[in-house]
Amino acid sequence: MLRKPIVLLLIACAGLLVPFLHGCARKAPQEDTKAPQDGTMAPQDGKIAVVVSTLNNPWFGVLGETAKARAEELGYKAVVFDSQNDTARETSHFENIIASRYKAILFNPTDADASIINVRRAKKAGIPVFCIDREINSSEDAVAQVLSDNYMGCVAIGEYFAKELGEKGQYIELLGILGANNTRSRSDGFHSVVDQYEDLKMVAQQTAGFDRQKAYDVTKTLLGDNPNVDAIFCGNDAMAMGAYQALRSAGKADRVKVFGFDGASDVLESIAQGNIKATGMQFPKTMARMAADFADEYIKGRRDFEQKIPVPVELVTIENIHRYGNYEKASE
Amino acid sequence: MSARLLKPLILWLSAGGIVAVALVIFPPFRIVCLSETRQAVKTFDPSEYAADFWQNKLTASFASASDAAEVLQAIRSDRRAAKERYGRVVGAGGPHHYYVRGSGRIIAIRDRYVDLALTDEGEIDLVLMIAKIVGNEVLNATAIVTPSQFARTSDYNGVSAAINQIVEGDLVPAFLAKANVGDKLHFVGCSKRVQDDDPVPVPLQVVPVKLEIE
Repeated sequence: MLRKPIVLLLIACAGLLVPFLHGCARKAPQEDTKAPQDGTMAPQDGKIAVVVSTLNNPWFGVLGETAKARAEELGYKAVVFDSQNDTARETSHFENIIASRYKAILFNPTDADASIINVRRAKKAGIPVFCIDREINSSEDAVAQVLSDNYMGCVAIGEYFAKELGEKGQYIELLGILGANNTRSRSDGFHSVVDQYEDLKMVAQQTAGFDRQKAYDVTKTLLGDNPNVDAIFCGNDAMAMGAYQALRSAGKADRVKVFGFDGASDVLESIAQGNIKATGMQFPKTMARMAADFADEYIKGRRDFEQKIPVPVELVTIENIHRYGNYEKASE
Repeated sequence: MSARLLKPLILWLSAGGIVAVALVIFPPFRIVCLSETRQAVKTFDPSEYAADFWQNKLTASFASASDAAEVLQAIRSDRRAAKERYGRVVGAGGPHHYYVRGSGRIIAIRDRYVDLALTDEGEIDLVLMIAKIVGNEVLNATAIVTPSQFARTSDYNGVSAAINQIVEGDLVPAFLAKANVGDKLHFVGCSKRVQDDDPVPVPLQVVPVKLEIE
């Protein structure tokens, strides 16, 4: 008596498996690389998504808001999504964006590897993705990637660091999120310089996750173990601010030199006051505007984009701070 | 076999068949040979890439380098025009590099630099970097490859570091073993990054990629 329902159930289960197995097909459908037939889609008909790794850091706030503003200037409706440095949340945003048929995604990825799948899904759904600031480890999925030249920026900081320390001394390095390409590029650029000076000794290297509070806590602990430290190199400005505050509470802010990276407005102010020694200006506004322009051009039919476009990072010190402000050149 | 047993058997076989066909067409996983996997995930070797670049691509590009004396003259008279005519920009504008070649007389050999005069006046026009060489100068100035050709930007940077090692570890020691102040030198090199609002980059700092004493 029960056999027939069981058999039917099995057939139904087998049927249900098929859509799930569909994703395992070996060849993904080719993206349609042709320009839209009419080529004249009214921009105001489209929505552009701006997906940002975290809005907890003001720098990314500027990146996201500038991208949104530029997309709106170009006539699109734009919405900012905050991934809160969580790849699962980022995936959920992409699912919503794909379901809502956005025209393009301006994307600041959370993770160079884990974010690839999201870009791939959007591409498969015919939605072009333009990475901003952070890259994904793929040259085939995003239409273009507008990236800070972190490596060369930190080479410049490394050279200034060695000069400021008289090519000798003990230092601490605070790393960003482990596994993030930016963390590695910045650290590699910095070390490509400072490791050539035998008398510059790194006494501690620890992650503070690009976070100001974590940097404060980590620096406080590390200062206890390394009382004679001369400098702290931080992989971003939020950590530089945290490290500087920890030095102030330990009464060592006058002796220990702090170096950041980003060009955040509070760090520029600190450099102008002679506190933090240097940072690397990353130009988030330039990158965000460029990505929004690319999305608009793509929607209108352009397809010949360079995959990776490095945006130069400039060294900012007390000597040249007058040239910079508000996340861009002072004259802009 | 009775019809009562045959009917459920056919149903079972049909269900099994559907599942089997679905699994063949859309396999949920695939078994591959371990050696094939190792081949696929072979990690990028910047040193290997740099050695190949140095031997096969860089040498072939020497002829495309600009005349150093011409570049310096252009920088001295109008640096913006010099950038437009001779400068090589990577990515979104701003800083640039010069890829130069020429001949000059060695004025001084210092710990990290060799000073060079390109004319008989003896003024230092160019400074060759011979130690603590860093950055993407060679890749950026020659523009033979671009960051887009690498899956990870860190690979591009890694190649630069390996090229810098070839300069410091092979090219410079061989040169220093024979070089003397006053010697005439033929060179090809890549300028350090020049920013628009930096002081005029003269003498021009250059990472050498070819050094030949006459």
